[in-house]
Amino acid sequence: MCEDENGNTRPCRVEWSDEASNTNVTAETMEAAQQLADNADVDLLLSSGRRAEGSNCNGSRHNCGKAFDIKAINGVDIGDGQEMNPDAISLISRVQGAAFEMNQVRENYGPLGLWKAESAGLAPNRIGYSTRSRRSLGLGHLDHIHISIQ
Amino acid sequence: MRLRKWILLPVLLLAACQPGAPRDDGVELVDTANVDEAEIMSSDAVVPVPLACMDVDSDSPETRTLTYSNVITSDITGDMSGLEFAFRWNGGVWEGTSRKAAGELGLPRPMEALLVDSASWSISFMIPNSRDTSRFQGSLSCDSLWGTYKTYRTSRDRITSFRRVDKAEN
Repeated sequence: MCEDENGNTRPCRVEWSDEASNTNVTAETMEAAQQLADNADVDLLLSSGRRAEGSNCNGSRHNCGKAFDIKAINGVDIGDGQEMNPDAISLISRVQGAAFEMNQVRENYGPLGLWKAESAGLAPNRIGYSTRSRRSLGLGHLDHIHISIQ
Repeated sequence: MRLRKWILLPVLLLAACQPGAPRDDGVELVDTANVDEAEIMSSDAVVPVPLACMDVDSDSPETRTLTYSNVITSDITGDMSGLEFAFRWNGGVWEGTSRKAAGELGLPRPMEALLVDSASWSISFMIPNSRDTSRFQGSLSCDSLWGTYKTYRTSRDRITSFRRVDKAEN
């Protein structure tokens, strides 16, 4: 649960930024986003959802509505311009830690690390930065958290 | 022989830097000691001018706008990440906007305190974000924007560059 300005508990919120061009993700994806917010006890602001119509996930799980990007937690920017916000580290840790524990999460890419579970129920593997492609993946997720579901 | 090179090199460098000496880039240095104050006051240095690569006579705002970006796109998630800055010459005044990519490219936000010195092409501006203000100080050219960027109050200054792109990356 989250708290309002007066310290009263309330359900945690998942909201879309007005900059997100297509919020039409699958119902399972929105459920995962809400569960992530509830498990981490934070409000989430999402900046990107679906990027193509249809159910083909080739290229990105955004293309089939099975991914979302988080740009702010409890109103605090995760980062800006490929740089993590130092004031957001503990919030990012809570969210990426909560995502790590969720069975339905496939990709959990953010400033504090890159994890991927090949299928539901399998433990997520940490992706290192050993190749140029992986370093690029890390660099490209310092200012937001990318979450996709199985 | 080696000793002669070390003696000659500073002398040659000094000669090349003398006011009035022709330079490879076609710019002639002016000996300011011989220029009267009125001439300095009326020089272009204090009057905003557009960059040479801008078509200021065009009716199209696009040709009066230069866009710089460090946005990258992940080949795995397709996510965009980075910043994009656009500078528009509008009736003798510089205007700037910033777009942040956190997954996808966001909406343009106006810059604050944009200062462009058309004599040295130094530039500074600020961008308010949710709880902080980012600050940039550096240089502008037709090819790139580079300088020091301080994203958050608690973050370190970092030297960064943005390449010129033809138009806003969508």
